[in-house]
Amino acid sequence: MALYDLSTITDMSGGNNDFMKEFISTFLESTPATLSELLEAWSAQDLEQVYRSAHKLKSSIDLAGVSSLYDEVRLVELTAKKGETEGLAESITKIEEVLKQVFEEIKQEFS
Amino acid sequence: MGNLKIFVVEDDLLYATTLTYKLSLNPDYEISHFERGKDFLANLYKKPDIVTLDYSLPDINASEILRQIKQTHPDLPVIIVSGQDDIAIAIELFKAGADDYIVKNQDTHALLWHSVQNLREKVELKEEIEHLKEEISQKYDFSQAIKGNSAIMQKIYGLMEKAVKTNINVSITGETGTGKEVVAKAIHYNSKRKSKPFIAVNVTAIPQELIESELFGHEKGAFTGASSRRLGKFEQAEKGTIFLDEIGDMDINMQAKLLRVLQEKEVTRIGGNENVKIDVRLICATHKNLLEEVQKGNFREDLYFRLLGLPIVLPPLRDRGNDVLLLAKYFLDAFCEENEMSRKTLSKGAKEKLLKYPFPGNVRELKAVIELAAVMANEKEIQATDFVLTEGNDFADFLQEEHTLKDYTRQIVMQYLDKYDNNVLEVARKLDIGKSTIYRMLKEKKLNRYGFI
Repeated sequence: MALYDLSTITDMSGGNNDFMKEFISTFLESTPATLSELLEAWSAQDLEQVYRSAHKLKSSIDLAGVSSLYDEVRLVELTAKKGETEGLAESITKIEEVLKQVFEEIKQEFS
Repeated sequence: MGNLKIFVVEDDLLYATTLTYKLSLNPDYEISHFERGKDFLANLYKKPDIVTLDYSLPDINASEILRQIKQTHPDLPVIIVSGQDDIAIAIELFKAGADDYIVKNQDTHALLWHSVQNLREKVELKEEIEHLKEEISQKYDFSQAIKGNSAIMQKIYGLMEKAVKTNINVSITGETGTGKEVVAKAIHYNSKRKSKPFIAVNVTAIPQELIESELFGHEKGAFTGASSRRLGKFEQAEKGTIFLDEIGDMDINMQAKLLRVLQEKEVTRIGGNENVKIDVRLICATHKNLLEEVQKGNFREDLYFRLLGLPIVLPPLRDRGNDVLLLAKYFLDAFCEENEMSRKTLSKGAKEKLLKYPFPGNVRELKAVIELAAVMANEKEIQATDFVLTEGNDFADFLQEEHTLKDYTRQIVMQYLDKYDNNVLEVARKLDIGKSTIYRMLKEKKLNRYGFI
């Protein structure tokens, strides 16, 4: 099963390739940056920033249809918001792994 | 309506890209995107029609932005797009004036699309209302509503200007058809109360036993048939103007009740215990001479003085000189335009006939006469014979003009000649006179016309 599903975006584009290209390039620019923010914040134990980054990442994950992370990213967002750390390490590692793979696959598909 | 300007305020670039794209699918939408609250606020002067606002912006909090928008542009619709499905936040934002709250998820784009659509309808309705209001106030612009160049009408305009500036009661008297209601409406729509209702009540049109409930309302069960609470005209006119027409015909018992309402500035619905405060401007009108009615004991003196306020006496049309022609032309043009007919004019004879006629029905009658003539006339120019005027008065008036018998005879003959297409033989037969008499008159008239006598 593919790690991501762009059908929502494809539907929305109605065959407009320019929009698809713009979406992909924006995704490949902004999402890795947000992921780095999340990782840095986590290593600095800045939970407030972890919450913000997870919040931002959430919509990118939704839009790109990365269904295996839907629950994961929400869990990180809520836990960090509450100022707790339980399970964060595992979840963040999973998010990192999956997203990096998604970036690679998308790059290949649209290169 | 032109393009709908939508400002998308969203720091998440990916989201902004998709939202902007989705909205741009409607070619009528003109979308601008702002990443930061600061940039957005700096561009607010460009007057967007709708704003979509991300709840968690990096620089300024959305509640703060919303507050600033509502301060300077209270009517600008704002849709909040939030990553939080948080009811408390949503309620807080709604209280602060947000128009919609959409949570970011798979459905966001569709929801936003609908939300924009709905708000767009709202914006358009608002614009239409503004437009109609503007139109009404233009329609009731003094010189538009009541036309007239005569000195006497200029004086009336002066009084109306004064009436507009305060809340003083106004009493309008004048013969039937002089435009009492038009004046009342013009005063209302040019006053500060113009956005509130103008309620007109014709006192004679309501049966006596119903008038109290019409004016002051009634509670449920106040009398047989009162199946629900009903607000009276005074309450309906709250913050606006009530126009009581034919006040001179009000029953004397009702006069006492009206006086109490005017003195206390409150009404009590029939069958109710509650006194409802009212803030209503009163304009009343009558064709009767109220002072005379007071002297006859038909009208309460105390009520008379309360109603009198600023008295405006509308002159009958026959006292307004050339206003008859001004109005005739106005009604004629308006009628032709409304009915998509080509423009018509009045012949010299037609104008003379209008100037001589006493118009017992005043402006209303003039309007009816002109409209009928416009329908009846076959030519571009309306002739005197196209006017259907009240016969009796016309003839009496004709006799009052005091011409010599010779002049009268000639006028009668000319009238017949007009009517029978200058067929001298036919006219001679109808009037039982010799045709040479007519020829002689025509000859004289011709001489007269060129001034040779």
